[in-house]
Amino acid sequence: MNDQVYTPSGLNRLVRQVLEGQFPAVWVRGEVSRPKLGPTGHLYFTLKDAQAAVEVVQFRGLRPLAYIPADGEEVLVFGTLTLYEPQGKYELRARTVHPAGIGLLRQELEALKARLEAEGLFALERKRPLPPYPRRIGVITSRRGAAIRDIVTVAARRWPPAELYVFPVRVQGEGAEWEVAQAIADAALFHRETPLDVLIVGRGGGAAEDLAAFNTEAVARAIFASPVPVVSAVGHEVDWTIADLVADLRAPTPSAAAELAVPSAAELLERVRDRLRRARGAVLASVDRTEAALRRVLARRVFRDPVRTLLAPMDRLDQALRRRPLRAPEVLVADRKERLIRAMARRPFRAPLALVEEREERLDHIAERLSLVVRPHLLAAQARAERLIARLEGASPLGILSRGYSLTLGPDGRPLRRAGEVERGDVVETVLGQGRLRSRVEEVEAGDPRGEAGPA
Amino acid sequence: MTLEEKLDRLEAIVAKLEEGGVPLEESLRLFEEGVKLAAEVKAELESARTRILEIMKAAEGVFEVREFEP
Repeated sequence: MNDQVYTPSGLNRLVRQVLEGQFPAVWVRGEVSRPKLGPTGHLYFTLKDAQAAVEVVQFRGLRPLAYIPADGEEVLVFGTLTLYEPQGKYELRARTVHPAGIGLLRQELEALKARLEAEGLFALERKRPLPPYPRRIGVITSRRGAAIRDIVTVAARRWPPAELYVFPVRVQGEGAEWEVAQAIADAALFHRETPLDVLIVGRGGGAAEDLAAFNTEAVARAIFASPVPVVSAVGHEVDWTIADLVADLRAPTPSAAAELAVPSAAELLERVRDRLRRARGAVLASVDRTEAALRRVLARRVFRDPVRTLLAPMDRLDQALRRRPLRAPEVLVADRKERLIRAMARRPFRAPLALVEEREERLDHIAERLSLVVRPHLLAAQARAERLIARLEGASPLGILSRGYSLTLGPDGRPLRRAGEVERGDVVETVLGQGRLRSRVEEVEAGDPRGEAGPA
Repeated sequence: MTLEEKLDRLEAIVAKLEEGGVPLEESLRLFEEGVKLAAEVKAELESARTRILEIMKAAEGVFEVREFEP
């Protein structure tokens, strides 16, 4: 003990310094008595239990106090101690006041987090991806306020196919956590009949103590049990609530939750247009390849120089037929002859190229205008071209001549197509399977339109 | 076909066309299918109007759905 004598003022100042400097911030729970809002906006009340009471003051700070407790209400106060010097009474200077029963003490909150984490409720590998194109979106929030408005606005702007199913709840106040948890469970039941694609759970911005419902075990377990992926939208940029930790995806605000939950129709349509452009490019490339294949076929010698190509194999044919006796019936010979003549009469060596050009032009048309009308014509032209190519290839002279055809050449050495091309007395040459004949024409019967250039 | 299935099919068509080796007639058929799918997706997105419904619980597991009126 020292010998110094204090005045009441001096003593109170000393005690105040000790209290403020050395006493830690505390949580106090009790019943509110005689709450009073001063003209300055500061809040005064007495906190009591059955045996004792302590005075509490909460200064308004920069903005009006969000929560004014009612007389008799059970509250949790977090604050530091000080001394009101004029009266020498100590008081609790509150930093936060919120209803008891919703909020938990910070250390309780940390303990709850640790327990839920140990149970795996926050496990990243349990997080489910959101469906890319959701149709039905459950929304669990207050039916009033900015949160629901923001979610509706953003979803409708970005994703017109959205159907929002609002499950209204109180998001703060006593019992709010049970309403939220129950609504999540209700959404799960609703989902059985009308499948939901994603669930947004949250509220607009609020002071830390207003988020209490989202820091409860009840809400955490409800989210964990939800069969529908959950996006949390507890409007608080900085602090993560337990609901955020359990949710499949955490959004800092309700607007952000809607942005994350639905795709942008405009971006999707742009992607669809891009895919169509790519498809068109691939089809045009396919046309180019087909054209190149056609050109390769047309470049073969038989098409470039048919007469020489027809005559060139004759000698080889002679030898082949010498080894293998001919046994083609008359009918087959006549039929083959006719087809060969027709094929040559149609100037087939030019037609496929024209068909390719026609096809390309029509494909350009279809691709540009996306018109489906011309497609049957295009396909018909293509089918015709392909049949023609197949026939041209089948018309190889070796194949045909080996079966008993012969070829009659006029005085100028060109194949005869019509009897009218020669006159009586002309010398013609007939190329047979075995050897050649040189003959003089006795008679010309030009009346038959099919001609007389058959086997001599 | 759902929207997602249509988009998946469109992607598959483009992949197949770009892979090459598809005969011309088949590639035209695929292209036509792609154009049709794209038109359907576009129509679906452009004709859609967002609906907002409120769910009221009538009894355990029984719900009433009505238009949401803010």
